[in-house]
Amino acid sequence: MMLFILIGIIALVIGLLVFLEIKPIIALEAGGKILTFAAMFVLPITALVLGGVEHLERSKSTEFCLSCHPMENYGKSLLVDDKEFVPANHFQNKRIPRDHACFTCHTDYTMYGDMQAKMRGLKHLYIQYVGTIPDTLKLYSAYNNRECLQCHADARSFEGNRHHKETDTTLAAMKDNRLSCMASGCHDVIHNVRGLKDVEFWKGGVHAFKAH
Amino acid sequence: MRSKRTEHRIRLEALFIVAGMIVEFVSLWWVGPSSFILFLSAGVVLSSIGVGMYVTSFLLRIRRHRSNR
Repeated sequence: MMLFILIGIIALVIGLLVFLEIKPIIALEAGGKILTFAAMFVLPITALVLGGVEHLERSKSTEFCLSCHPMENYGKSLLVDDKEFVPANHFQNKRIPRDHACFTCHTDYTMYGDMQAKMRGLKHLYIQYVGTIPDTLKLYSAYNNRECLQCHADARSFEGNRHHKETDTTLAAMKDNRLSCMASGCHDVIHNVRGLKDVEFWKGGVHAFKAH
Repeated sequence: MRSKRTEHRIRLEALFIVAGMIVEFVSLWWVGPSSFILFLSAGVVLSSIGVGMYVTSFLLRIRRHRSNR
């Protein structure tokens, strides 16, 4: 909806300004001054603000993240036919919105993180278009349980899980991010992009990216 | 003479804004970092130059009008 409004405003600005290019004398007449103010200031600023919001919204989409070559295998890993793969399990069973799959679990990335994260985002852009992409991609800091807990905290399946209640402190340690959900022996099969050659893929998965 | 100069200035400002709007429109055609860069580095910059020129001349005109009173 917003996209249509934005395109409408852009078309209106272009139309009005083309008219002003042809007849600039209009801008000097009494009624024309208001029209000029709208066409030269109010509408373009509105179009730029809406454009910025639209682009920011798009940058949260799975399509945006996977448009970079190094992310291709991470996209493929969402379609692995093995429920041990945590991201694939979440993506395929719609435990996360498919169209915002990456952003749902990596909320502190690039533009949405702190200033340092934004700078790293710019560095990623430079590497994507100009630099050399490293063989192995790693998170800058250990994965924060906060991302899991935004959905799982207080859920019966999480709080009541016998492994989570193994000791009196296990649950508290997970909530305080002292014990990672992805600790060895727990939910430790993540994207595992190096092992994608040896796995089966969900047959209907190709449509999952389109049909959200 | 002044109105000719004003007409020329308005044309130039409008040209910058139209160019910025066209770039913004083009940047909405695909989803990816390159579209975002295009929007920021060309769309916003070109439009801002045009709007900035217009606002500057608008404010100068008001100032001139006040000092003439």
